[in-house]
Amino acid sequence: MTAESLDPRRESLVAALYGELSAEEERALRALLAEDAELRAEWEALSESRAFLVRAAAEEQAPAFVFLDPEPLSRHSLPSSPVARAAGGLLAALRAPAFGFGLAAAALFVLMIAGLRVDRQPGGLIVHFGDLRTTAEPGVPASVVDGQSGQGGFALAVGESLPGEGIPIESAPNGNGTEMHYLADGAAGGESGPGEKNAAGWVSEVRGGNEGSGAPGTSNEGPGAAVVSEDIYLTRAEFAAYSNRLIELMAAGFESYERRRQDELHFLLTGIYEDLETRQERSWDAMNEQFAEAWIRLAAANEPGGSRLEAPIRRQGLPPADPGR
Amino acid sequence: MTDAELVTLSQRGDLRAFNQLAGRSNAALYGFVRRMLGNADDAQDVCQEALIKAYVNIGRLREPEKFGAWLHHIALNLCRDWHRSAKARPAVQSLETVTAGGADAVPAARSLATAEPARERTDLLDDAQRLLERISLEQRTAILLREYQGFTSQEIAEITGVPAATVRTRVFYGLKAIHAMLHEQEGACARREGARAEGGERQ
Repeated sequence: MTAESLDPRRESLVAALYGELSAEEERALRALLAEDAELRAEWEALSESRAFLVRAAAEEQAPAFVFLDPEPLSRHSLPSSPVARAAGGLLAALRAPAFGFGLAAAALFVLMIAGLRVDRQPGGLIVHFGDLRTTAEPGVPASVVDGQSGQGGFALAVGESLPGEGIPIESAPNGNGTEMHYLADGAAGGESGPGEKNAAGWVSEVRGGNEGSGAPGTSNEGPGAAVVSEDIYLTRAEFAAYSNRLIELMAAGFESYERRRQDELHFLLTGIYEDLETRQERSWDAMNEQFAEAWIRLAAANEPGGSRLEAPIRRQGLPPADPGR
Repeated sequence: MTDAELVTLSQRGDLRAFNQLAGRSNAALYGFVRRMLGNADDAQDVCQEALIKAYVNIGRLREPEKFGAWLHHIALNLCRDWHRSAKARPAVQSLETVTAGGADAVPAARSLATAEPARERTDLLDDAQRLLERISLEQRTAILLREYQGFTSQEIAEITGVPAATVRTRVFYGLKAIHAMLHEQEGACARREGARAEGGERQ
């Protein structure tokens, strides 16, 4: 609400004009009017204007409006039964934009209940159903691992198709014979240290609580590599990158499916159309042949001593034109 | 039966109750809208639309005793829409207005002093309408709701969505503007009368 200011004395003039003042307030206003000539002049002006408007009060004949159809009322605002109200509410909810997101969340929840798992492997993120038997060799992409294990699922191999955004991970044995995983600084193998940007724009970082065992500069590191402890976990940025990749893959999958569906539909319809066209052509040819044949017979029958049109009629099961002949 | 009772019945789907309610509010509503728009045909359309909106949405009215204010609120919004769209469409004047010198022409000289009961009532109404159309829409709304519809400042505040003090401010400046215009007309009338008398003496 925006307020327009007015001198309280003038505001009380308006209130008095329409009888909105208490007796005490009215007495105070009268005293003010007696003292202040300017205020008194304004009071008279307002009273004159009001008197003019009162005289000009309209007494026009208003048209009558009568509602005859109860249907809109029952349909729009007063559903007759609880079932109808519930149905109306459900329809309204289905129309809401949030419904799409809710549906997606519900689908994801159902998939998780059904056993969908997302696992982090040295080579990338693996989406699968059920337990995944990991047989990864160092440096082997997760997609290959998945293929070997025979489990249903697909892998998101890091760095395969997200240049500049992926987080390549390399593995190499350390001096104690255990496997260590390193974060490479980028595809080009830059020389930046932890926390610094490399040529690919990636900031390398040291993750995990076991930093002492593989601090930068130890013999197991490649140039500019950061050690990742064996307790591998996903950082927020990594998860975002993998999520984006997952969404891209799903979108691509849907697009591919849609394209394939369109192609199949097109192929199917084309086949049906061609078949129909062929049949129509055949029917047309057959009909033309019949017409031509009938025409020839007709022409022959008209010639003196020509043959009669008995044979076709007999074929249709009708009696000959002249049984006695 | 009170308006509030009729509203309650209407909310339960009683069409006859709503018709009764509409019949009671009809004249006041039409008078307000007619003054707001200055056009009888458009006023009928707006009134009809306002009543339909009220009919469809009456289930949402939580305070049945405020049906009148609520209905005027609906009508006011429709009037505002009408004025907004009126700016985009070409102005249409009645032949009567054009021959009288246009919509902005000073109304025929009828002042406070000369407005006698004998004068034709329709002329007086036209004068009042022309004066009202020359003040701002907000001032006109406040004055019409206060003067002709009988709403209090607080009720007008609820209808228009501004504080009650603002309503009083608008009424104050609107009435002052009307007073100034009336005196301006009175002066113009006096000047014309003087010029006419002077011309008669010369002849």
